[in-house]
Amino acid sequence: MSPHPERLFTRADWTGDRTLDCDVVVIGSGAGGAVTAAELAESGLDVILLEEGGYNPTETFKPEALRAARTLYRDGGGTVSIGNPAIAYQEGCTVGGSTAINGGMSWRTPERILERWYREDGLDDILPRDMDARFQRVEKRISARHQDPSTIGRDNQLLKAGADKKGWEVIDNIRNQVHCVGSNTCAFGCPTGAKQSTLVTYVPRALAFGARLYADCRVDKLIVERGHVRGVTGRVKRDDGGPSHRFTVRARAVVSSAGAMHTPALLLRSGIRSPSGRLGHNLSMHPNVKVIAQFDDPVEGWKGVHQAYQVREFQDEGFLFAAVNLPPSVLAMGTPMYGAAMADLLENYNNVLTAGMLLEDSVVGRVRLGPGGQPLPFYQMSDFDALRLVRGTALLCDLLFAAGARRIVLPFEGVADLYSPDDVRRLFARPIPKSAMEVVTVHLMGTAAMGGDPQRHVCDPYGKVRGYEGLWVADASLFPSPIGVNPMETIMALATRNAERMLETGAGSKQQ
Amino acid sequence: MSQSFHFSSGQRRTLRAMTHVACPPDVAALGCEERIASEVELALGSFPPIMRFGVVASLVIFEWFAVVVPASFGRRFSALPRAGQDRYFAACWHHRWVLVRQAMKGIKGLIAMAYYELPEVKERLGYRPEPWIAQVKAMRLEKFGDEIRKHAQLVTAPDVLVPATSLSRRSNDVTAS
Ligand SMILES: Cc1cc2nc3c(=O)[nH]c(=O)nc-3n(C[C@H](O)[C@H](O)[C@H](O)COP(=O)(O)OP(=O)(O)OC[C@H]3O[C@@H](n4cnc5c(N)ncnc54)[C@H](O)[C@@H]3O)c2cc1C
Ligand code: SF4
Repeated sequence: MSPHPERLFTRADWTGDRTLDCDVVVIGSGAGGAVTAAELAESGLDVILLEEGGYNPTETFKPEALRAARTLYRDGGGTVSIGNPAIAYQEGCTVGGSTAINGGMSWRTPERILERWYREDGLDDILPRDMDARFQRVEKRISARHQDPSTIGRDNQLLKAGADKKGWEVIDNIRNQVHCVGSNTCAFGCPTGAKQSTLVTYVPRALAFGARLYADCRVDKLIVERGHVRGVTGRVKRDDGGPSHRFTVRARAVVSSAGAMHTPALLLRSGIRSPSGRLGHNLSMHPNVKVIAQFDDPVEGWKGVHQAYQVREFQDEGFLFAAVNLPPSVLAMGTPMYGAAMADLLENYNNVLTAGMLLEDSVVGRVRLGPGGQPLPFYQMSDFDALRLVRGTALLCDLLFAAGARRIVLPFEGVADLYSPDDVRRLFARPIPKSAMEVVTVHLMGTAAMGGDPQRHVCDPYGKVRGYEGLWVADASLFPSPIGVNPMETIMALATRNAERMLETGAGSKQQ
Repeated sequence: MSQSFHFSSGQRRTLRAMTHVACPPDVAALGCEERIASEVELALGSFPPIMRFGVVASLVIFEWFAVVVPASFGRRFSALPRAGQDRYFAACWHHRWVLVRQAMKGIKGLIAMAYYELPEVKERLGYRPEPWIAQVKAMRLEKFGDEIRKHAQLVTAPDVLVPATSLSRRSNDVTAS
């Protein structure tokens, strides 16, 4: 086990209630929070990073789904949005946030999105030419690059072969990794240390430049005094998740990087009211479905990198396809079957390829405050998006049959398995009810959007919360719209951009 | 992070009986019902309280609703003969109410996940990630050690975002909104 990093504290370091002081307190150590903390600390500010999850270093990561769900995921992964269909969503709750459990796809924001944000959301300094240096800076830190070809497994080769046969555009993924060797357990924490999540990049960087990180510390409320946010209060979490010691952190600036569910919840339960009335609104989810394709020959998707390719042929329609290997337990959990039927499919586990389709959604939901001040997300998929989901799934099935699949299990309850390309047409024979769709997501965005319009945007164009002094947001909540690709790098580049502005405006500094 | 949570003996009995229907047929031969129930318990401990309540309530309703189904002759789910359990489970699985179907899917999901995490089941399926990880991890360090160390150094190498010179020019033209 590597030594406990300096200035990193866990619940074991607490002996009683405490009050701490700093220039800037950052809540959450994921994509937005760790970047903000590192950039501000390096510029000489005294930064405290508070993280609700525990400190789980690389050496502790194991390919055990249930254990990972309990230790690395928020609420054991048992989080679901309310609506039709109910959408299971996942977030990290550990040092490194969701970056510690994500797939490592590292994509710049599509140019069309940056241009839209400039045109429609009043964001300056956001066009591709403005963002280029920020993307480069992030990519250098997290080592965003193509995969070593030898690590590309059979599942990805089949996906590419299918796309090639159809003549569809397929691209090599860019991932944040240093010689990833394809152990395909990214979602349980990378056990080789190859994935460059914030756990092994921006968090150690922040610590190296003097930041203090308190793991196991849940922020309950912001301290708000006459429109000025002056710090936070919270509780240290016990091993069993219950609250123990109380803490107060007094700071000149507070940055909420708790993610697109927990940032609006934290702000709302602290009494923050956005003049726009839109705090918690504008929730995008990139709904995602998975199909299971059975092949005659072994696939062994677990030997090889997670998502080596992305099929981008239908990006204009808002569809992305990828091979997304899942361990048997997670596969079995989500299949719409049980008993002998499930056994029949899973006995061939090494011959299946799991592929996913991500949809750029056209509607938004809302995060409200639920019992105990927890976020309660409402998201009603539109009929239009439900139809697109079926169309995208049908295209993905076409690809998989072209790759040689002989049976495809669908994420639509009550719809029979497909055995040939002709069967794919059956998908359109009668409407598939939304309630029959197995939809999941790991991309949550937009609930404290930034932009130039005080009527529409909770935050100003640089992430400062309108109507309050000393309060900033730096996470996926800031997105004015969904982006249609994996969001981590966008969050990091925006955090970099907004940290520049914080420094330039003296946020957190004594001369403020 | 998990809250400690334990099924009552009745709930545990229902769950054990459900494993026989929800899991592959070898579950009884493996004698793993208790282990599955304990894993589900642990998983529920880390769930949000409302979800945990939902799952436990569904288990209880599932067990006792069987009593009013004519074919059960007044018996609870766990007291039904195996064929009766199969029929009752299938009827709930295909129930016309979405909520019932969702509850069934949720409970089956937890049970199936616990079953397929059992080491002997992984082994039977030929899913052996640990030796694979050990092999590729060692290969990575041997082949790319220098580059890995170089990147680790770069992670903490100074490269300030906004040079102090620009900070001293802090402008007042930046509007707070
Ligand atoms: C399984 C999975 C796979 C994914 N794959 C990819 C991928 O391949 N590529 C990609 O680009 N994106 C991927 N994503 C999405 C991406 O990781 C997230 O969008 C991104 O990390 C979100 O950044 P964030 O800063 O908004 O929040 P997070 O990274 O989730 O960080 C928020 C942190 O805040 C902490 N927190 C919350 N509330 C509090 C509180 N009250 N007090 C203290 N701390 C708190 C949380 O514990 C968490 O650690 C994936 C996500 C998941 C879950
Ligand atoms: S595929 Fe394996 S080595 Fe590569 S990033 Fe994922 S977990 Fe790490």
